[in-house]
Amino acid sequence: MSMTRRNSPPLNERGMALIGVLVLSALLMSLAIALALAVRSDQQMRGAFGSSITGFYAAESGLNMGMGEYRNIFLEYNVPSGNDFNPRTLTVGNRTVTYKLSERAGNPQNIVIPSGELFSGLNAIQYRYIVNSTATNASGDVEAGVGAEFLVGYIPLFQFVAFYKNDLEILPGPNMTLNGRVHTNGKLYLSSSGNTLTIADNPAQGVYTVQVSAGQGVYRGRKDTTVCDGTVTIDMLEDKVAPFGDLDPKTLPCNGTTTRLVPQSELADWKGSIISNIGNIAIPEPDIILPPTSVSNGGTANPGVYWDKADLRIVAHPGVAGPALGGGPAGLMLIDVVTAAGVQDATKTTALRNFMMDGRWNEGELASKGPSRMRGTMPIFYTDVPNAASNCGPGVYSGACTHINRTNYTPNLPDRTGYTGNNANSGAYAEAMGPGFLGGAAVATFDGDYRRGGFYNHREKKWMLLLNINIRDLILWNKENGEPFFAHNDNTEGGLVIFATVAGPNSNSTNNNYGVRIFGSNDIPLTGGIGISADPTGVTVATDQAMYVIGDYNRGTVNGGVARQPASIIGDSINVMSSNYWRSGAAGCTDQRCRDGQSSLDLTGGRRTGANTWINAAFLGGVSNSAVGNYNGGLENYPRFHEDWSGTTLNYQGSFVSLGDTKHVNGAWCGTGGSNSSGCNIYNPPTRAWNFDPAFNNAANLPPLTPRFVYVQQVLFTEDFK
Amino acid sequence: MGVMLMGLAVVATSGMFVAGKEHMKRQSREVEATQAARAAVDMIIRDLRLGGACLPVTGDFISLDGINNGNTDQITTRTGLTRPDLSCIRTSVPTGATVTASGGVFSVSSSEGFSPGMRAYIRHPDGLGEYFDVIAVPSPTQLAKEQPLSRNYPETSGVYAIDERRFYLQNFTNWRGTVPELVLQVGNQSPQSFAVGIEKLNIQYQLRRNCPPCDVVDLPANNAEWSVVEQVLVNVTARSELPDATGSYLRRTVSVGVKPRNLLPQ
Repeated sequence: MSMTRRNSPPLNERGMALIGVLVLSALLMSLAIALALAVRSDQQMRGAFGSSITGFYAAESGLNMGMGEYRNIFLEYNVPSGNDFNPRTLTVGNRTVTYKLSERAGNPQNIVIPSGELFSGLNAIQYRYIVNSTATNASGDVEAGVGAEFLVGYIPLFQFVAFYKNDLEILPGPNMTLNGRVHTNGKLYLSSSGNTLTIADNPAQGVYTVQVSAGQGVYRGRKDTTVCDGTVTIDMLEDKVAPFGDLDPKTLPCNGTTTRLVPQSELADWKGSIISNIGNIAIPEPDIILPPTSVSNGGTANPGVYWDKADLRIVAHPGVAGPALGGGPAGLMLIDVVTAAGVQDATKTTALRNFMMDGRWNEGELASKGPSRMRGTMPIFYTDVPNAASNCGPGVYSGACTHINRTNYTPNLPDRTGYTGNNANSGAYAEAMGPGFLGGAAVATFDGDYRRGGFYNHREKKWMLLLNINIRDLILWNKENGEPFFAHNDNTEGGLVIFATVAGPNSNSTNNNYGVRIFGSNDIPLTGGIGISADPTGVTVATDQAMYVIGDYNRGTVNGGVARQPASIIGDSINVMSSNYWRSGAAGCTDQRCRDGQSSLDLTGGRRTGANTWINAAFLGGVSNSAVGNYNGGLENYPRFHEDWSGTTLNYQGSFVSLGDTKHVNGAWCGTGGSNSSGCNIYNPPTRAWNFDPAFNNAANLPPLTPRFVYVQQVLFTEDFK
Repeated sequence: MGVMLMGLAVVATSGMFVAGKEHMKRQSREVEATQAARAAVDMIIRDLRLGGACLPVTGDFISLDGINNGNTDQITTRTGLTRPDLSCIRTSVPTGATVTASGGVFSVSSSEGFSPGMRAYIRHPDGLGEYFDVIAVPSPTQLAKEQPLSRNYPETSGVYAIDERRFYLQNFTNWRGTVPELVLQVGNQSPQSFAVGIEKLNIQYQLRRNCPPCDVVDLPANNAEWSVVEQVLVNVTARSELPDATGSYLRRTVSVGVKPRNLLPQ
């Protein structure tokens, strides 16, 4: 029994296995739980990290979408309003992204863009907006938020020495220096035919910085042919080389002899003074210069701002006979003043005719009034084209063409007083042009014939029909005769805006012969002026047809004038004629080929000799595009010339703006020199003393109704993980 | 027999437990190292992505800066300070005014958003600039600077409120010995520990040059190269706080490419 009992397991060992198993199970369980917790913790961390990243990118997509939508509002020249500020949503995967635009208090602000930013130093009307975007997951938790500030600037265009919509080429033959900013929305081509093109600051003139920018690429070389030559030097945004206080120049080299696209990595050497591919910025369309269709078949149902805001609208109507002026001949072309709606303004038209006939004022016979600086010259007249009897026509200006014979006009132009022979027969110029012109006799009354004739444009191969206006006399006469046209000190839109056009059957033609020519305006007789008054009035003269400016314009106090004014000249194309154009040339001007008649002569021979000329005005006009094998003349030929400027200088201070191709003239630039029988016979170039007008750096000195471009820039991106 | 079996089971289970525990510790170190690396990279990424906000985009390049030193690089990012509504705090010297080098108070177009104690940067139209501290905002169109400048600044010069962050590695000593860490220095303030255990920080810069594949440099050689930085390549290695039984640290490396969104205007 006892043996049996000894062989049995002791009572106190019973359950040990179970306990062991339980202990082991507990250990394993705790291990498993710990492992599970660790794994779960890691998974949660990884998941949260992944969710926040995904949420962040979802929020960022909302931000990008919002900025794109809002950007379009500004690029269409609108500002957000009403519903634009409501939150908007989009779905990204299983997340809801909400983005919202908000406006900073104080919009808009007139600012000077700080140095260091694109377009720094420019005056701008700036709006500031914030876009916030958040991503919310399926559980309703906001995972991430991002934000951005962006600026919308309305920047006046005349703060650039050159601003182009299409490709811009600067390829001067002689050395050329530009001070100021250059921009094109297209491609920029820089070269020089064996000499040097320099784009530099000019601290002495208040030009402290340089910016050369392009919406697309910057090329070293020509566009019309793959050639790279000459020297192109552009200042860097760096001043480490003596003399100090002047940006350091750096040459943009050719690589070999062919045109090349300069990579951004190379442009970076200029530290921001040359910027490519900044994208297309919104600029006004060329239709801002169009009148209404009720006035001209070249107009539009929605006339441009220059017509809408004009203080005076003068319209010439080819083919429409107006009443005889004074004792003058009947059947002359109607010139009248119309309202914004395009209806003749009878009162102002009467005043205009009084102005045109006011010989005594013109001669200075009235105490304290006038006189004209073009005494004896009718202040408004038109340049007629030869009639059929003259045997002159498009491309015909010699041989059987007797266009300047006064008897070839119907009715005949009067004799030129005091001259005989050929001179007497030069009827197109029968009006004495004032003491300074050919020694013509002064007149106290006009003969009422407000016609001239015979301007042949070799580039267009056409006789031109021009409406000629003496802007200075118009402004002065208006002031001294009860202000029938506008208030002399009008400063709405920044000053006076005068719109003139030729509204004839060919106004809408892509290749017509119409134009407006302004003359006699060595100074603009407005109160104050640049440097005299804090916010001078200024004057803008605009037309939808070709614009011609003859002689000094807004030169200022020189030759007894008043201080220069903020001024701009706007047209389909801009043509410049020297101050010699209506004066005796080097070879004298004793026959019927004087003045406009010289345009039918060879470029050689001395009777198309230009003279030093000064113009202070911004230009806004069309420029034709270059194509392979067809150079448009480049910036150096933005103003179209018609004389032999050899040895003379065009002193220009202003801004060259092109909003696209010309609409009404398509004569190709064909180079310089030559004669009727060989070469282009259009012009020889002047010495180009061309500069940006630093006065335009002050917004108060900008010309009336200066066009603006819209500039949208993101300046800040922020993120906020939750 | 039962005791033997149980003993074997206990030994085996204990072994498993110990192994599991070691695995857990290793896992923990792994998580710790990974998290340290992630956190470090996240912060650097964030600051790099924001670098350049509200700052000049032309002239001297100030948005990024760095030092190349093998696996212990240094990187500095600068951003413009913003107002509570996120708009940038910056202004310009108005037309006709000049900031004289020695003067204290000077004119600006607007002093809104500036406050005493802010770090600021003034940029000449020639592209060069310098830093100063704002000590007072006397009026809505004036600021007062603490330090004299090296030269005068003409009209249109830009004035920007600046936030500067510098990341670099350093070692510190505790009871366990020498420990590497990533530190963050804001402006001229004392550097602060940002992530412990970061022992390598290698930064490279991909340029918009010769693309594709684009040049990659250890450090841009000059301003021109800095201003064509397309992407910053960040490589961070973190180690566990404690070594394992063999004395080896567990290490995790995180690599990421960061596109600074604010470097160039959009």
